[in-house]
Amino acid sequence: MLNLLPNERIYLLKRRHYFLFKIQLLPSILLFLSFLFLTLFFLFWKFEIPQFFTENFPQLSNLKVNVVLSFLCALMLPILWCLIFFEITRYYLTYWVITNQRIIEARLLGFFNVQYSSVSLDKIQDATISIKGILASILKFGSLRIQTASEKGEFILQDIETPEIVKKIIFEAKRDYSTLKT
Amino acid sequence: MLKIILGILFFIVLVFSMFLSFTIVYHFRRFKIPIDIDKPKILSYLFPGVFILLLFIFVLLNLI
Repeated sequence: MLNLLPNERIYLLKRRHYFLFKIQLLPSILLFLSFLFLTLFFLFWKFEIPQFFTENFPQLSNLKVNVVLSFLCALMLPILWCLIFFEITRYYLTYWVITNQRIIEARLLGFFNVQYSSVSLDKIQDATISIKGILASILKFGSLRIQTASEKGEFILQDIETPEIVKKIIFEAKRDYSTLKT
Repeated sequence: MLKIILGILFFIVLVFSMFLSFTIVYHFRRFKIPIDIDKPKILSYLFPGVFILLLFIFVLLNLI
């Protein structure tokens, strides 16, 4: 869990742009809805096994094929639901926090695989903004690369909303932190 | 024979989904953020509820 230092105040919390998150979630949701539709469709569908099969395999006449198909589709539902929630979990637990003392990065790489890293504001050397593509330009999101003198070297705030404002806040926080130290 | 195969499939998916769902809820609780916690908190409660509903559909289909 993220623990703040004494006298540390949070200025900003940033995640990836919400639109990108929705786009990423869309295929899983569509797949989930398709399987839900198929489950209900097979459940209420009257299916007759062709006569050829029932004549050669009489035991098949007792089989409710539509229910079996419906059951198999329903089996996919919890798996897809979990995958959707995994994406939501990853979105919420991957974030960047800018405080009055440091920048903290939390990344959920996978289940039981969380990475926390932080860099003190006085170690920040330079910051570069990159806005690539039409969508990024229209929706005003991009990546902010922060060069640091720390062990990690570079901090990348990926696909965040309004990177220019974030950069401005970081440098103002850095200036305040430097004056506070001296 | 078919019922046994379906039963095994049901059991595997049940265990797998249960594990995943509890893992997700655990992550929301364990790695929570000091601020901006409202939404994930709601999600962590929403998750098991909907999951149980889906399981209900499962069991119903299995019973038919």
